[in-house]
Amino acid sequence: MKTLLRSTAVLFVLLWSFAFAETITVYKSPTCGCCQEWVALMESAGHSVTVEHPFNLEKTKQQLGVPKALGSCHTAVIKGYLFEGHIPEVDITAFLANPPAGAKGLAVPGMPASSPGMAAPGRAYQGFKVIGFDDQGRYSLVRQY
Amino acid sequence: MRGPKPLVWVLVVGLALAGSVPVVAMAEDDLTPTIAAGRQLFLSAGGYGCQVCHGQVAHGGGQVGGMIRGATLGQFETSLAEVPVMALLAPSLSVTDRLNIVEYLGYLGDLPLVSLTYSDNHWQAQTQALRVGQWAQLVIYNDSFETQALDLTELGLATLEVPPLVTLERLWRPTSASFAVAGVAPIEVMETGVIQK
Repeated sequence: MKTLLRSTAVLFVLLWSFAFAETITVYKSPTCGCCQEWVALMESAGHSVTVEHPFNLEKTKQQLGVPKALGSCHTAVIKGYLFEGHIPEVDITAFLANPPAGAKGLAVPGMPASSPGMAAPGRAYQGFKVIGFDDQGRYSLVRQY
Repeated sequence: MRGPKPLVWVLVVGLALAGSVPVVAMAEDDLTPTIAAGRQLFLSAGGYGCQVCHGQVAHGGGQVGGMIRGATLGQFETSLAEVPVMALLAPSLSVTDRLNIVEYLGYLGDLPLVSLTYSDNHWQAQTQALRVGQWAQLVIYNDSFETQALDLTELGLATLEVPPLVTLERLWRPTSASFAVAGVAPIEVMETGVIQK
């Protein structure tokens, strides 16, 4: 009976992961190590990540429509939405579960020390904002860490 | 915009008492070729630039790398060799690139920093020690989601409209041992030279 329960629980977790797993394209520079750390976190959460190293990353960001003021080192694209910088996975999945009307994506500008991919493993995320941006050029605070 | 008080604060921040010096903007074109090349690399190396970890003018700006104005070639080389996130960038920087970046950081290190930040519904300021007639750099950051105006006419500069989350930089040469900025909270003189966001 215990084995059956354990197996059911494992199956449930797997199905849950698949249900919320996303296909992600990340645009980054080959010289950036912290981007790769962020990618690893997304993969460990069950998402499928494809990494692209464009010749001109800045131009790629412009073409995608990342606001310059929100710039960080990498840009992820999921279901047509943009995710700039070291955004916690939980905020991305929450956004995708219910994207606001007109929303273009989320951003954590710059390189905050205690953000995903920057913070030491196990350390709490703190000292940065997750900012939403829309197709009208407006910003909003999604979460303050 | 809602400031702490609608009056002009005047605080003594400089120590020298030389005569007045005309305020003349230093054009970007006045930078030497090596400093200009270093600036370009600082903004774009690796596709994201040193700025992403150190702030737009190497002032820190609350980012992981902190303030590096005035860093020496030795310090830069050590960081490229020992800091994991910089080690990947190292092979892409030639000896000339490194010298140019250090030249630019040295140029910035010679410019006292005046930080003006809009946060929590008001402007705040910090400054390194200034000297009359010596160029300084104003770094203006709007940490809000609305455009904010900043009246710099008391400094001989134009009033600025600062878009949300944007950092602007201006060169400025103090003409007296004190300065004032309308609507800005009392200006704190930094003793350590390190800007706290």
